[in-house]
Amino acid sequence: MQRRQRLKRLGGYKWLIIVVIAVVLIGFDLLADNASIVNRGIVVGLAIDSGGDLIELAAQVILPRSGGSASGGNDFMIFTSSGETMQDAVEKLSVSMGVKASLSHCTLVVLGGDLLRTKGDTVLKHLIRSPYFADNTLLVAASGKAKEVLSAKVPINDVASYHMQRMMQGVQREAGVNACTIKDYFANYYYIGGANYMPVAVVENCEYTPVGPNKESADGAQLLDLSRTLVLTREGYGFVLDYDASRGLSFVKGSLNDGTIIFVSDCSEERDVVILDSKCTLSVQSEDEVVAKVKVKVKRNDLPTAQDGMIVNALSERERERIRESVRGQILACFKEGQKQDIDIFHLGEHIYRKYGEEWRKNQNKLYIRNIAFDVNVELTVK
Amino acid sequence: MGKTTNVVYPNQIALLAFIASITFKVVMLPQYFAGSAGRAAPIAMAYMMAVEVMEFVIIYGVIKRTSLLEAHIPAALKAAFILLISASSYFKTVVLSAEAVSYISTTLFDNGLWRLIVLAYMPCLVYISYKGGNVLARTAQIVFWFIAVSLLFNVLFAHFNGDTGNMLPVQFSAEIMKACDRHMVWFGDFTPFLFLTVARPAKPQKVRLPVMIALCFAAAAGFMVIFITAYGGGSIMVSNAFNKIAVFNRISLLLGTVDFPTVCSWLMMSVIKLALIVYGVVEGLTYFLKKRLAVALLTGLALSLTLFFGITNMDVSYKIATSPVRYAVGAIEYLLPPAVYLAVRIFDKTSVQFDSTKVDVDALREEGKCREGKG
Repeated sequence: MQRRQRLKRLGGYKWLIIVVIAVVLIGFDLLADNASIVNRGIVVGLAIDSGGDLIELAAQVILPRSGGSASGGNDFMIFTSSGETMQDAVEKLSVSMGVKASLSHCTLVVLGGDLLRTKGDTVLKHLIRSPYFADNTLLVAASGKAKEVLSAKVPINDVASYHMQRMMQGVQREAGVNACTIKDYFANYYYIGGANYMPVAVVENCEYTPVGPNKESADGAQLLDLSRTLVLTREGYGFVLDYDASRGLSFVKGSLNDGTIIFVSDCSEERDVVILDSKCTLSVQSEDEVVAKVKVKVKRNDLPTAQDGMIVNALSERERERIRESVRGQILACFKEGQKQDIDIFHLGEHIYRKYGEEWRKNQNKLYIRNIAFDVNVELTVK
Repeated sequence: MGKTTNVVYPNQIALLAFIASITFKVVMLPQYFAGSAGRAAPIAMAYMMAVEVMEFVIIYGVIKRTSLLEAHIPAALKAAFILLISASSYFKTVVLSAEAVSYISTTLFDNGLWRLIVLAYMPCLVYISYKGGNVLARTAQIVFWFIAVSLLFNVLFAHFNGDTGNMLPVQFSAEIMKACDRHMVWFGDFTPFLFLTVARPAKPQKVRLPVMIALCFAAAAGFMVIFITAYGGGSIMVSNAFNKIAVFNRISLLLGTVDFPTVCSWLMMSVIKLALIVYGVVEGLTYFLKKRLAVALLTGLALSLTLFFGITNMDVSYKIATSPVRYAVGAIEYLLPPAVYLAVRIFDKTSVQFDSTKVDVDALREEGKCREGKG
C-alpha cells in the first residue's frame, strides 16, 4: 500500500512504463547489429568475377576515419573475397576487410566477361533482390577481368569507380556510352525479347605526365574506354557492338546532350558537329514495321569562313544530309547486328506489342525480329 | 490512466482513413500485384480501392449515427459482429505486422533481428490501442504533418525516370480479378472504425473527408502507376516499392540510398495503421471480457507469440495471407459493414444521422455527446 502511494507521488505507473520502455529500446539498439561509421567499409565500386565454381569479389572501399575529413581524409583500398554464392562472397568481404562492408553507397558494379557467360543471371538477380544495392547502381561489363577495371589507375580521379560513374552519369550524356542501371536492366529483361545492354570497359595504358607535388611518381596511368556495348539476352551473354553500332544504340535508347557527329564536308574534309540534344521515339507503322524518329539538335564546330566577301556559318543542305545519313547509318548498323544474332536490341517487339497486344504476340516466335522492317528518320536542327 | 473514448472528429477520421488505407498498399503489395496482374496492376489497384472507398462510405454511414458498441441492435447479432471484426483484425495484424517488421529489419538495420523489432513495436501498439480511438486519432493528427512533408519532399525532388508505355497494352484480363482475389487481405481496412463514433463538434467545422478519401484513392492508384512506369516488368523483382521509389534512390550519385525521411514517415504510418487494427481486436474483446488493460496486454502477448513462432519469414506470411482464410476475412471486411448498416437502420430507431456543419449545440450538450474545441 505504501509502495503504491510512493509510486503515485512519483507520477504513477505511467512514468514507470515509459522508463521501462525507454530502457528496453536502448537495450534493443545495443543488441542489434549497428556498426558505427568508423567500423564500416563503404564500398563505392564492386567487381564481380567468376573463379571456377566460386564468385570472386573485389571491392573498392573507403575506410572512414574517426573525426572525418578534419583528421586527414579517407583511405581508398581494394579488398577481395570469394564465395559459393553472392551472399556468401559479400559476407566474406566483411571478414577480409575487418569491418562491416556497407553496400548502400555502391554506385558501380563491374561484371567480368567470364562471369557474364556463366553466372551472370544469378548475380544480377541478387543485385536487385538485395536490399543493400540502390537501383540506380550502374552496371558495366569488363572485357577481361572485372577486378582489373576497378583497379585501373585513372589519371583524373584516383578511384576508377567514381571515374566511370562520371563517364556514364555525369552532367553530359555522351553518344556511344550506353549506361545501364540495375533498374534499367530489369525493366529491359522483362520486355518482349528481353534484350539488354551495358557498356564494355576496356583498360588502356596511356602516357601521363603528372604535374604538381607528386610529379616524381610517374607510375604511368590507364584510360578506361566505354565506347563499346555488350548486348545480353535472358539466356546470357550475347555479343559486343562495335563503336558505330554502340553510337547507334545510344541514339535510339538514350537521351543525349554530348558527343560529336563526324561527316564529310563539301570540301571533302572530315568535319564534325557537336550534339546539343538528341531524343528518339519509336513509331509503330504496322505489325511488322517500325520507324525510329530521331530528333538531333547540333552546333557547328567550325569558325565562320569568308566566301566571296560574305561570312558563311551555315551547313549546306548536302552537309546536313550527310550528318543525317551518319546518324541513320549508325542506328541501322546497330539494328542489323542485332537482327543477325536474332536479338531485338531496340525492343521493337515490345513497342509492337504495346500497340497490337496479345493478337500480335500469339503469332510470334523467338525469331520475330527477322520479320520486322526497320527504318530511321532523322530530323536535324542546327543551332 | 485516463478515460477511454472512442469519439473522433470527422477530420480525424479522414486522416486515419488515409493512413489506414495507404500504408500497406505501397510496400509489398505493388510487387505482388505486378506478379499477378503484370502491366494491368494499376487497374487491379484502382478496382480494389474503389471497393474500399465504397466500404468506407457504408461504415461512415453507420458511425455518423452510432458506434457498433452503442448501437441498439439485438445482443447476439451485436456480439457476432464484434467477434468477427476482432477475428479479422487479429488475422490482418499478424500478416501486416510481419510486413512491417520485414521492412524495418531491411531498411533500418543490417540484418535486424525480427523478434527485437516485434518487441519494440508491440508495447507501442498495445498502448495506443488500449487508450482508445480518441488517442489513436490524435496520434494520427500529430504524425500526419511529418508524413505529409516527407511525401511532399519526395514529390518535389523526385527525378523520375520511367516509361509510361510500360502499362500498355491496357487489357481487362482475368489476371486482374485473380490478383484482386489473391490479395484481398491487403484491402478493406476500415472495419475497426465501426467501434468509433463521429464526434459532434460544438462549432460547425468544414469536413475534409470526401477530399481525403479521393486523395486516398488517387494516391494508391497513382503510386501503382508510378511503380509500373518506373520498373516495367522488373516490378516483380522489387520487394520494397515505397523505399525504392524514394527520392534519393533517384537523384543521388555519390550518396547511394539516403532514404531516411521515407523510412521514418512510413514507420509512423505503420504504427498508426497497426494500432488501428490492434484496437479493433482490443475493443472487440473488451466488449466481452470487460477488463480492458488485461485484454490489451493479452492481445499484445498473443500477437508477439504468433509473430515469434508462427511467422518465421515473409514467405510464411504471404502463404497465410493468400490461403483460403482470406475469403473469410474478405467476407467480414466487405459484407459485414453493409450488414451492420442494415441492422442499425432496422433495429436502432434512436440513432439519428447528423451533419457536422449544422449542430444544435445545446441539445447535444444535454445529451452529453458534444465535445468542445476544434477538431
